[in-house]
Amino acid sequence: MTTPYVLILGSQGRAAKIANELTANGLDELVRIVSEPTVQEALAADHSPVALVILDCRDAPLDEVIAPLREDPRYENARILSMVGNDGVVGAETSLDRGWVAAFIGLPMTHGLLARHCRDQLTRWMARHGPDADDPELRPRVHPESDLLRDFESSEATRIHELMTVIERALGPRPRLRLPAGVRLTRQDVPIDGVYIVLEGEVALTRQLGEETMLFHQDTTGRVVGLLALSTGARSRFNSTTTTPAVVVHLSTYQLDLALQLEPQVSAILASSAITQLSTRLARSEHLHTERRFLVRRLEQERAELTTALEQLREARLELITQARFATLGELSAGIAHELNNPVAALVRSSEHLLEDVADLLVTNPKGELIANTIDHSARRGATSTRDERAARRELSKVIKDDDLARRLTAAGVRNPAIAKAATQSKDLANTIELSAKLGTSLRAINLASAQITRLVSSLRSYARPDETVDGVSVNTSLEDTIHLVSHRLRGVELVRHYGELPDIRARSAQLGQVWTNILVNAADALNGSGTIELRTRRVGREVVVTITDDGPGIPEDVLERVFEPRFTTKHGQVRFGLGMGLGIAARFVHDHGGTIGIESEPGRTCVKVRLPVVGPPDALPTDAEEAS
Amino acid sequence: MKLAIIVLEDEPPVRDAIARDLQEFSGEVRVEPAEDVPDARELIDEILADGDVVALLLADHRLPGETGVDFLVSTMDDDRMASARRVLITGQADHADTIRAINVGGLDHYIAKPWDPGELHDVVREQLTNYVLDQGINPLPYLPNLEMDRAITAMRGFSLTD
Repeated sequence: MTTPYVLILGSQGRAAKIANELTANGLDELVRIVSEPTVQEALAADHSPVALVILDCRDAPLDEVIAPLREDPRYENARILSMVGNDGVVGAETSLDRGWVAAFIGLPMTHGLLARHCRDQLTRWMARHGPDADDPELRPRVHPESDLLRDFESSEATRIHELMTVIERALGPRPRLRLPAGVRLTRQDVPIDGVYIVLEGEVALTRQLGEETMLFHQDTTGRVVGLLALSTGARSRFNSTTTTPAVVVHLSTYQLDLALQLEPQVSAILASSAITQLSTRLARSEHLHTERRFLVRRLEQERAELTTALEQLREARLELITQARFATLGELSAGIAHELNNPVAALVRSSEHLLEDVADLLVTNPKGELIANTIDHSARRGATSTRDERAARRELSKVIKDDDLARRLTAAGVRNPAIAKAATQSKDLANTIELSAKLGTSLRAINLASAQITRLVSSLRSYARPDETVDGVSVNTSLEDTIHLVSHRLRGVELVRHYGELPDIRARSAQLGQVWTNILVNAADALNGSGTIELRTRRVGREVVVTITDDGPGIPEDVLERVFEPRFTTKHGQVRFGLGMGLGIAARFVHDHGGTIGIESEPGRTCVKVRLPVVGPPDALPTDAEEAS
Repeated sequence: MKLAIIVLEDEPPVRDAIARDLQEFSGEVRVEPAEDVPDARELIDEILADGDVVALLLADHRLPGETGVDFLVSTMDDDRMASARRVLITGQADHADTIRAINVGGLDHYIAKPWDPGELHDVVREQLTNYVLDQGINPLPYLPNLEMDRAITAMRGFSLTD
């Protein structure tokens, strides 16, 4: 091992004085003492290893002197003593932060003190970096001379042994109490009149919190039980109980006081014991604090995960509800369509048969031709407005001067004044015309109603298989079907259709129907009974684009941002499904189809635009096998 | 002076069917169909111009533009109409609308679609009788269209030549 260096950094005059002092105290036998005027020169010189640097550069900021030294591996472990004059220390922030300076030494100093400082620092350096640093037996030790610091360094067992020695020196032999496990030494919240010195065995400190007994200390109890309570107003904070067979010595407060007076060493030992005990408890508390932070963080994380899970569950539930509704709707639709088809067919056929049979009957009737013509005329004529009918009635009334008959004849579709005049002559003729017309009107009503039912049934069919993806779906037809099914919501709304030529697409037609339903019902609600909805379809590349525009009051900006959220609805502030539900479900179905949906709104114009890929939903693209079949 | 019944219904087959079911109300009672609210207002003017009175309003709720309930409520403020009887006949009024019709619209009766012709007759007959008695009109000319018992009891207050 090469002899380590002590480097004195500073002006030559003072450096020489410092070197002299060190030499005079025999340090030159341990180390090589060198001095350099500047850091640069020190670094240029060939000193290694350096155990100690004594800085006497009192004008320069400390950090600027030390930083370059620390960057050099030869100075990495060197301990640094900083001589401080009347001006104090300047520019030492980094040095303090990194712990570079081992000690600050005030000037002027007592003769010989610097050498003692150096010896102490050198010992510490040797303990860590000297040739025997790795050997716990040979490693040099620093021996404090004060009682307190010396007691800190000794083990708890040694300390207690020493304590007993000095106490018994003062008080005479103390009786040993031999206790089994489970003996309570102090009670929580009860005043304390003495301490127990635990020579053997273990003591646990607990607190009673309601029903629960909480363990606070076991390994961290310390050997002098009750000492800390004495310092804090003499009430025990804990129940202390032996947990193993134990040997203890009891000292009353009086006996303790006496021992402290007679043997000053007792106080040093008790102080070091108390401080050690406190610091182990503090360490434990700090550890618990860290652990609590960690637990809180983990709790927060778990709570966030739970929230997410809950959110996902809610969404899944909504999805299930929607699916269940669709399944139900599908089954119902199929059932209703099937059940309605038969009666409707019977209705249509019967009405035709009725007409034929009546015609046959009339062949032999003298007024047969009139009756047949009137029935036929009434059955075919379109609906007239009540306004027009009243005008026609007034005309007839002028001619025949009979309001009541005029009303009956107009209702029967008579517009010809000549026939009306004839009817005034014959009550029988009037009755015949009226009855025949009513017959015709009823037939027309039956035909119209059955046609309407037939149309509804065929519209319902598209809802029959909600999850099935099929080819050949016509978006225009799908829109028309929906318009039929929600026509009751579209009363008073003018529909303007601009349907383009579209390719058939691959889609789930029931979901498509739901998309249009939701958009249309939303628009109709906004219009509140009067306004225009414009439907426009066109093909753009490989997509079909549908825009549905209404001229309603528009959607407020803050609401607009949220209309596609899964559970958003402005109606009564609650979630509703089925007809009248929000655009969220529409958006989900469009996305499931691999399409996009967007909305723009301003007062007087709200436009929803849906783009659907012609190839259909990405998850339901036809497989090769399907195509082959 | 005839008693007019206004049938406000926008769908022609339904309108025709109601009018047809009311055909037994005749003579001094006129049944007048109207297809929407503006038409009904026009009709009221015509009826009053003829020197007749509107005794009963039978209105559907769902109509293009103004609803039946709105119409019934609005006629409450019309002096010429204030005493008319009001009946809502509908399949689609939701709960809140019906409540409003009863509380604010002076609704006298509610008939659900599809209606029963017998019930329709009874309701119309009862309401016409109420109208005639409330207005202190001599029931005699309208007797075939009224509830016979109540009308005859009331007639005792009128001389036969009235």
